[in-house]
Amino acid sequence: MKWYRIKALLLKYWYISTNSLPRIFDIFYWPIISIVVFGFTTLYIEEAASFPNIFVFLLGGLIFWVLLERAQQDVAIFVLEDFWSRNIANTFSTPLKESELFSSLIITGLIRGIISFSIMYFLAMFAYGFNLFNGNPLIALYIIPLLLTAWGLGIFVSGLVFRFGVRIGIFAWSISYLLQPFAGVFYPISTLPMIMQKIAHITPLMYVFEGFRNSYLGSFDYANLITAIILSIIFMFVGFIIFMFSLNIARKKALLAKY
Amino acid sequence: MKYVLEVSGLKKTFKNKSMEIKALDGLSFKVKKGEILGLLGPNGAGKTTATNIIIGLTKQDSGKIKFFGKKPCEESMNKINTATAYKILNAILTIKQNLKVYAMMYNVKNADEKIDYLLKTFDIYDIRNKLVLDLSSGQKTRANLCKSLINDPEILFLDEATAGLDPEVALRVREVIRNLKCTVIFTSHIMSEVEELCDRIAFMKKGKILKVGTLKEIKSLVDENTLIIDFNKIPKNYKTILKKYDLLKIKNKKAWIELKNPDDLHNITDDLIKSGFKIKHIKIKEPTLEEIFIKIARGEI
Repeated sequence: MKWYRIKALLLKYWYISTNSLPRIFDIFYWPIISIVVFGFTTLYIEEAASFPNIFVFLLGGLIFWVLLERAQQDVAIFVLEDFWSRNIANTFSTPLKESELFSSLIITGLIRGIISFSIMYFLAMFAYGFNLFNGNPLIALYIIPLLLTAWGLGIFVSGLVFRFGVRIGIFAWSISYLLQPFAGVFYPISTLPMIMQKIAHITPLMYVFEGFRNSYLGSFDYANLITAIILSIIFMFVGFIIFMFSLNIARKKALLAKY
Repeated sequence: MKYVLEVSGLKKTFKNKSMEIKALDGLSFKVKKGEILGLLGPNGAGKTTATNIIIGLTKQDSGKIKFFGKKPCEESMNKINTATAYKILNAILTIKQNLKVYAMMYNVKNADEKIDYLLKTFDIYDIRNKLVLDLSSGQKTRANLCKSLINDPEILFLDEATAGLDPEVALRVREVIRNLKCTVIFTSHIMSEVEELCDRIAFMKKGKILKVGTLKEIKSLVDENTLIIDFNKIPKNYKTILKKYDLLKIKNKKAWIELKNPDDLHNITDDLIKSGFKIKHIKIKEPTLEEIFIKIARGEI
């Protein structure tokens, strides 16, 4: 792995981020709009229904969810940008290694995610008086499995794009929503029917959101954190294997040369 | 002999549900240092597949590739580069931004100076800050050529790299290619360009190299020249007389006759003079590369 090649890709993603209005909107526009709308919705429900801890369920869940969505989409969309530009052949005829591509995507996703997350965190605090960490900085540890899962999903979708082309690019935006019903982002997992609860238990996201709420409302939930980290590492590993497998098929079928 | 590129027994078959397409069928060739090799062949001959396999975009079924006597590796990938008219640089980056990225990718020293030099060489310095998206196809091609030279490659693959350029720019690009100190593998359908630039020419058909050699060697494959005779005077029954020969055409007291054997020249001219023709001027025209290309493609050679 050569740092200068990672830096080259980071520079490319920086240029894409600053030249492209949709990529700028990804960082600022959607997170701000989400917090504003969900913030007022939460205020309304809190007043109308006297729902205890509604901010943890709605706004807390939303901030974590947007972070996941951002990190996952950034990995997949920056790969898609090269496909849309028909620049894949140029990129892959350099000495670039897959590990360097991943590293640059992950660093870019991390930076963009931190910016979006910070905007939402401070907006929620100043506009609605909601502190995501509730005086317990350990809650921030739940960001680790959240990001690992996001990157695993992003790498998985990127693999699909290499294998099937841009026609399945829609998954770059929608794949995380496939897991959302099982993640318990805005409700406790016990709300789900038993069969859905069973599926939820094999995804790391359920442990992230349940663990976050437990930690926010009570003492820090180490058990859910550890389970979430283990499962998210497995998720990322599986995503990586599928990506490598897809890239290999793409090379065999001459798909890289098409774009 | 020092070869910078050795390709041996390259095979590639593409399969889909209904059929199998043999793109490469044991392709083998070697390229010497500093040589410009023209890879020619009809559509579907396997030129682009061969190039894509060599530069690492596509995986071969079997066969070997060696750069500088070794298997392809990071070191060799740093020394090669490629440009094709069918791929563009990242569309939402400016030309200069793209070149900066590639310069960094190849760890180019004095990148800014190098970029400016290339932009000026290909006459796109004034539009360096334009998004690739907003460029004309010729400008995109030139930007791609800049990218292909960013790392001072030792082997450069140019696949139809001058397609879409106007004649003046194409001339300039040919001058740049001719003055490069690297090995070039050149694929083009513009025969005059290949004739002008290439030291050796390899004709491909159905995934194999049919003929390879210098332009002179390739031209010697075809014995048939064309005899062009300008007449001062032609007899009335000229059509009947000329029918004896392989007459290609006759127009404005000028006849084109296929000369299968150079020894026939004297017999033909003597015969024509005896028949009442008065010859003004005689010229023997060698076959063009295009004519040879067509003959090879048709399997006539």
